[in-house]
Amino acid sequence: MFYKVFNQVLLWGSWLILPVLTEIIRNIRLIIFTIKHSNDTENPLDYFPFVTILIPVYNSSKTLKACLQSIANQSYPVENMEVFLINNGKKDESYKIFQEFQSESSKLKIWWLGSGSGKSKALNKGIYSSNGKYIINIDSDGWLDKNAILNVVKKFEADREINCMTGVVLTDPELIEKTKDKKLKLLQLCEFFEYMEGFLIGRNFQSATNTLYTLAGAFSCFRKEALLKTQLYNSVTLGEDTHMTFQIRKFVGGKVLLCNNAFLYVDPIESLDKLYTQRQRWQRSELQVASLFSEFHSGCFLDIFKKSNMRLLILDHSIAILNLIWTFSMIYFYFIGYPLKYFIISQLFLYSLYTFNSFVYSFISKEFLGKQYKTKRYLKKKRYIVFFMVWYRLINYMIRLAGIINSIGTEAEWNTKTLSYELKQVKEMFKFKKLKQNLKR
Amino acid sequence: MLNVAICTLFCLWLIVILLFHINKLKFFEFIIGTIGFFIFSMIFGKRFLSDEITYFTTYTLSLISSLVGGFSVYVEQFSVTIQRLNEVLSFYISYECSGLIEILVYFSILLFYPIFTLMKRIKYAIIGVVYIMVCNIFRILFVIYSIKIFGNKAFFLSHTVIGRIIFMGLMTILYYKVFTKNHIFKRGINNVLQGI
Repeated sequence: MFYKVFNQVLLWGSWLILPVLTEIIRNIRLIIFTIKHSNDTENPLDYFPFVTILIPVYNSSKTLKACLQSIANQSYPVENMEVFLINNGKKDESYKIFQEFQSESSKLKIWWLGSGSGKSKALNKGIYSSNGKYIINIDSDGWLDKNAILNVVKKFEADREINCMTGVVLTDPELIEKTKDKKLKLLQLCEFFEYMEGFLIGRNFQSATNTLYTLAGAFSCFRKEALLKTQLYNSVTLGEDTHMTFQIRKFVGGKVLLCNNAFLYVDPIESLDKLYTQRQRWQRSELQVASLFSEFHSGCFLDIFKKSNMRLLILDHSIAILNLIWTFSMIYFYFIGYPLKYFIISQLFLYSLYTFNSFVYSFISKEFLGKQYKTKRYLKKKRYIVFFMVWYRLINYMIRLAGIINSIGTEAEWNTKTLSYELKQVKEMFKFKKLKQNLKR
Repeated sequence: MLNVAICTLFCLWLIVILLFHINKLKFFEFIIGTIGFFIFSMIFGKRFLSDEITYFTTYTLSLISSLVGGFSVYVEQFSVTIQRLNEVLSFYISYECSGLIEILVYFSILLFYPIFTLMKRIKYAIIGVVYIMVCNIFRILFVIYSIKIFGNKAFFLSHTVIGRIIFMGLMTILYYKVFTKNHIFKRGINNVLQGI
C-alpha cells in the first residue's frame, strides 16, 4: 500500500512538493554557509561617516513620533546624522509632530521638505538634498532597533563592493498583541512568521550568494555615490524598491546585500483586504520589473542555472500557474475510485512537509535574531503558528495568482479592488434582478 | 442519473463563467474556469479519450521498438515488456502515464489565461499537445532503458522519481515559453507596465 500511496502522492502532488523541496535545499545551504562564516567578525568603526535618513511622510501622524524617537535613540552619533521628512501629499498632524520633536531633540538635525505626490518623488527630493555618504530610506510607520544605523554603516565600511543593502523588516510584536480581533491577530501572527522567513531565511540566503531580488522599500540603504549613478526612483512600476534594486545591478554592479543585524519594526497588516491589495501589488511589480529588465529574467532555458532571477520568475509565474490545478486536483482521487484514505494520507503528507519546513524556518530564524531578545521570546511563545502557515501560504499564493491575472487588462494602480469589494460584486451578481440583466446582455 | 447531474453542473458552470466575464471579475473567471474545465474534461477525457491517447502512446512506442529494438510493445493490451538477461518485466501504460492528465491541465489553463487571441490559443494548444506527447514518450523510454541497463529494481526509481523529475522539467519549459514569455516578454514593455 505504501508504494501505491507514494506513487499517487507523487503523481498528483509533485508540483506542490517542488516549492517546499527547493526551500529545504536552500535551508541546508544557508546553514552550511552560516556555519562557515560564524567566526567572521566586523571591526569596530574608527570614524563615523555622515548619514542621511530619508522618511517619506504620508498620513503618518500616528507613527511618526515613535519613528523619530527611534532615530534619536540610535547608538550611532546623533551629530553625524541628518533626517529629511519629505511630505508627499496628505495634510495631517505630521508637520506639528515634526515641530514638537524638533524642539524636544535639538541635537538631531531634522528637515521638513515638500514634494509632489508619490513616494518616488519624495525620495528623489531627499536624495538631491542629502549630504550624507550613506542614504537610508525608512518608512514612517516603522521604528529602528537601537543599533540599526551603526550596523548598516559598519557593513558598508567593511566592504567597498557593497553598494546597497536592505535591513531586516519585522512586524512589531507589541502591536500584534494589542489586536483584539482573534482572526486578524492570527493573520498578523502568520505575517510575523512570514516576514521572519522572508528576511532571515530567504533574503539571508540570497544575500550570501549576492542574488538578492529586492530591497525592502521600508528599510533600504545606499552608498550615495552608487545611488547617483542610477536613474533614481520613478513610478514607472508599482515596486520602486525592486526597480531600484535592478537599476543598481544594471548600472552600478557590485553587491546588493542584506544587513541581517539591522532591524526595523513596522505595523502589522490591518486587514485581509489590505493583504489582498498589497500582495497583488508586489506580484504585479515583480512582473513589471521582469519586463523592464528582461536581460536578468529571460534567456534560453539553460540560463536557469546561471540566472537566479529567472529561476525565481519561473517559480513565481510558470510553476505558480500550473500549481493552481494540482492544488485542487487531489480531490479527484476520490472520484476516480481511489479509497478516501489515499486522499487523506496524501493531504496529511503534504501538510506535514510544509509544516516541518516552517518549523525548521522558525529555529533558523531564531538564531539570526541575534540580540533581539524580546522578538526571540515572542517567536518561541508563538511557535505554534507554524501549524497555520500552510493555510496562510495558500491564501498568499491565491492572492499572488490574482495579481498575475489582474495585471492583464487592468490599469496599474497602487490600490486595486479589495477582496471585500470583489466578493460583494460576486454576491450582487447572483441576485435575481442583476442575474436577469446580465443574462439579457 | 449521474450523467444528468454532471450535465446540469456543466451548464451551471458555463453560466457562472459567463457572469464573471460580463462583470469583469477576471480572477474569479480564471479560477472557476480553469478548475471547472479540468474537472469536467477529466470526467469526459477519462471516459472517451483515455483509451485513444493510451493507444497512440503505445503505438508510437511500438514504432520506436521496431526501429531500435530492446523492448516489445503489445499495442492492444497497452503493455510494454522488457527482457534483460534472465529478467522480464512488463508494465501497463495506464491513462496516468499516457499524458492525458498533463494535456488537460495545460488546456484548462490555456483556455482561460487572458492574454491569448483565439488563433493563438489554437496554435499553442496544438504545439502543447504534440510537445506533451513527445515528452511523455521520452519519459517512458527513459524508464524502459533504465530497466534495460540496471534491471527490474530500477523501475521504482526511474518511473516514480527520476522520470517524473525529467518530465516536470520538460513541462516547466513549456509553461515558461507559452505563459511566462508571452505574458512578460512578448507583449511589449508598455503593455506590461500599463496592464494592457
